[in-house]
Amino acid sequence: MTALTGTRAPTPVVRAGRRRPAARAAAWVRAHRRALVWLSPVLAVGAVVNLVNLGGAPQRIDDEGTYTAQAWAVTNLGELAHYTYWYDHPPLGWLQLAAYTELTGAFARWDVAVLAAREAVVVASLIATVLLWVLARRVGLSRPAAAATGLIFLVSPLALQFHRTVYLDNVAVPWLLLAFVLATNRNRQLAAFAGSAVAFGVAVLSKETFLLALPVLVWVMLRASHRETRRYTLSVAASLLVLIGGSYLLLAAVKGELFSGADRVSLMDGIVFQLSSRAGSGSLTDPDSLLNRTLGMWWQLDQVFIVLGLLSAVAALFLRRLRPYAALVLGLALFMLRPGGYVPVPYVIALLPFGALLIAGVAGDAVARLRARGATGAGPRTGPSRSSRRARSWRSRCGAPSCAASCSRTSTGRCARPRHGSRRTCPVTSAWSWTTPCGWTWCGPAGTAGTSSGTTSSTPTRRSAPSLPTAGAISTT
Amino acid sequence: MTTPFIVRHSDSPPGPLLTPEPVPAGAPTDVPNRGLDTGLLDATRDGTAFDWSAVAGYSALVLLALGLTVVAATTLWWMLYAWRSKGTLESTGFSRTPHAPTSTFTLLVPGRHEEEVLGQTLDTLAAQTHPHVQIIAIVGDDDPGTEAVAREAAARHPDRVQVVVDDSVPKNKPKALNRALPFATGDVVGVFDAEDEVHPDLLRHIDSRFTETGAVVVQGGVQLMNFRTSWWSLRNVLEYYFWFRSRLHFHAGANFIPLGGNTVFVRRDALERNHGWDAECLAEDCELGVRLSSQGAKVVVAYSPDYVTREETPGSLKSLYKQRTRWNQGFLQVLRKGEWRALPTRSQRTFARYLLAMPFLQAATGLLIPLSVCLILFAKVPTVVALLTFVPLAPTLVTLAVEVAGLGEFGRLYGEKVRARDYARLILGTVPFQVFLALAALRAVFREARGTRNWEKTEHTGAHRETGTEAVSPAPEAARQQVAA
Repeated sequence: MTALTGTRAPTPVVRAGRRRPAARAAAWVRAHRRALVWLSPVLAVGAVVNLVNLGGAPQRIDDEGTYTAQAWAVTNLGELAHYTYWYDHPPLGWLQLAAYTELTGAFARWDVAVLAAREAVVVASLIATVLLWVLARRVGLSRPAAAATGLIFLVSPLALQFHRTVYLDNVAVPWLLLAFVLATNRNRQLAAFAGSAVAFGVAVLSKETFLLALPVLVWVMLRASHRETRRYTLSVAASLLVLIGGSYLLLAAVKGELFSGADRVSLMDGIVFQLSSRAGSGSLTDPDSLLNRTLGMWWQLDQVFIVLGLLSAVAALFLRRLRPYAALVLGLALFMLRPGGYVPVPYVIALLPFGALLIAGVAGDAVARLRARGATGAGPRTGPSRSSRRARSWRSRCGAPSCAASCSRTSTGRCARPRHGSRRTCPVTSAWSWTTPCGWTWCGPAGTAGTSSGTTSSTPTRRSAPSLPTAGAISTT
Repeated sequence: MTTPFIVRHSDSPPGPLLTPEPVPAGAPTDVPNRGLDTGLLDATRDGTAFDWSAVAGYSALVLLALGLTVVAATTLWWMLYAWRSKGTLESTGFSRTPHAPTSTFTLLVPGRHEEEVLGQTLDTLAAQTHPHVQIIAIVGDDDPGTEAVAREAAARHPDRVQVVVDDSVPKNKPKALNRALPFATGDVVGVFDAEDEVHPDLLRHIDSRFTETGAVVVQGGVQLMNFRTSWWSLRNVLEYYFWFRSRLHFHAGANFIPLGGNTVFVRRDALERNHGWDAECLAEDCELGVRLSSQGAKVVVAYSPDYVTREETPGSLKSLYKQRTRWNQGFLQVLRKGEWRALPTRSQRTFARYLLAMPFLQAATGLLIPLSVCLILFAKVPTVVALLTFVPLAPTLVTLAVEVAGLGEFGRLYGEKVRARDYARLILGTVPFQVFLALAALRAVFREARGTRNWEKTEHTGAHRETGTEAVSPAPEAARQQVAA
């Protein structure tokens, strides 16, 4: 669990072998106390804001009823859906909802079944916040910036509207974040990349649109991978991902529903429907198009987040460590506007964590830059400013010249990269060293991979569930 | 309210926040089974319809599948040990510049009907750059051809090579080694096979490894080279690659290691204390490793493609079959002999038991995967059970992907071009090779049960030496010339 800060404990790691659990927990808390001080208020505020008036707003919609009923059918009927499961979405999303409601007895706690599922997705968002913190620390954000990331992610009006709505996207987000966290591991990469592939597979099988993040995940993984072990770490990750995807095909094959046939549903029919049968969302130029109504709803909810998110995504393209996530946000945004495409209303959910990350990351970088300038340009002082002090202490801790403003190039033409995986990252300095010609940059192949737009050409788009007469009507008393 | 794109109703107050509805979706009209199936609920709630025998069958199937998954997954994980992290990979090699030599070495080279290859092997060993090397060639008293070759080599290198004649009946490798052990004078005793191709600097690195680690045993890498000879030789080569490159390091770390048959170096005092090798065991190398591990001896493994000992696969599928039978039977004997019971902790003992039974578990994996596929195809089972029976396939397929990656790396490291045909052979050979391994394991069980314990020798002809008897791989050749110069 050293992953909470994304780095190792500053104290020497003691082998926890035979110590009592209580002592181990105490040591863990001591080692991560600063992370806990920053993160727990964020989680507390987020939990309160997201759980208060859970049933009152927003208005319940048919999708919520569908997914809740399907989750109910899993545990109560032993079936994947209350009607015939027709491969509209992969079932892992509501299987997880079912697991949550079964394990916590959520259906018995609420008199409206949908609220049990709402509770489950809020919990998923809180888990996602912890993972987002780890990811933010991994990419070099300071603790305050990482806390701000979590806060934006949890209390932005867009988040407030969507995090409590029973959308499968909410279930998939923690898995996607976990995939990114594991893909940026510097140690034990074989296990980490295998885990990343599995987490991403779960995300995609929870909500198929998350497949759009694959190019960026591959980019992040390639960039983090050690050259010596890459051949194996990437083969294992790739094969696991293919296997998990294959398990969905296997499900259909075992049920005898792989190809379309008379009088039965099939996976093929489901995919054909999602990809080609549905009407597009219309165009931006048509004021009454579904696309414009969807965008209008998002805009009405949170203009600040949308504007800042897009602006910081553009700015973050110039910051090496945030670049993949900027590409992800911009890529998803552009994909949304493709002509004739269908944009589901919850599409924005996948963008929320990364938008929050970019806003806080770019702001943190700007602050660090201003402070650094203030420290160097303010003339003689009695003592070093806080930021320069911190930067210097990072420099000494990292023990690598590239952490300093003057980046030394090695004979191979690459910048020596601080061994941030081995001990700890240098949050402030890393942000601050983006100002240097190559800072943390590995001016090698990884840096050149930055052309990925984060999109794929053919991806199943999401459709809201078929309008079922009894959607949302199943409740327990 | 304004959107960034369209201005509309700019004067009116914000409207209610409504989730936009898509155009009424054209849901498929031919979806059957709409409406709640009342039979469904009844079936789940009807206790009398509960079929216990079916549940027992399903549970057995699921347990079998999970067991197979565990076997396949642990095998895969151990096979990948060296690449777990960058640090692990770095720890598996020799240090770049060896320490100055501190130990003296005795190399034992048993040869039996191997006059074609023994002479050259002894020459290579005599050309070691380590200053203190004694080489003992061991030949049988009923094998004049090999003895003549050994004597010629001794005449060429009088200061280094000696010949010991083994007169035991019946003959086997551990007896030959034990026969020569009293003549050994070095601090460290190493074993090589008659067909081995050894790097001239190997002993210096091994010596350095002893100095750095204070180990009792150092196991060097062995690599089969002739992956193009046949479909099974390709698989056999990869087995060796993963075993010595990765898996053995895992065993060394776990303090329980079945040693390899050659390029293995043991401190002489430890050998003498243990009265040498077990002459009755068919896998004397494994047995020695288990015995030393159980005594808590420190075993170190080092692999570097440059200093690896090159060998050839057995000449035919039949002799590979016999060799594999012998190894499996040897593992069984070690399991029965029970030296591993001396291991200090329960988890180590469990591990030892699991490991020594591994050839049989693997054989079972190979045989039961087709069985479970058949079950799924022909037996009517619930969807979940059917899906679970496929789980063992996952680690197997990942293993295949890793093998493909390993073949590519093997080709790059040893300068051999790996063609598309080789990859195809690798993939197509998976199932036949599993069946082959399973048959060898079954034969070993039969032989052990019937008490047949004679030694089936593997013949070698020098297929890994590129042209006849003269050519050796470029690296050792060049190095030897440097030594001569």
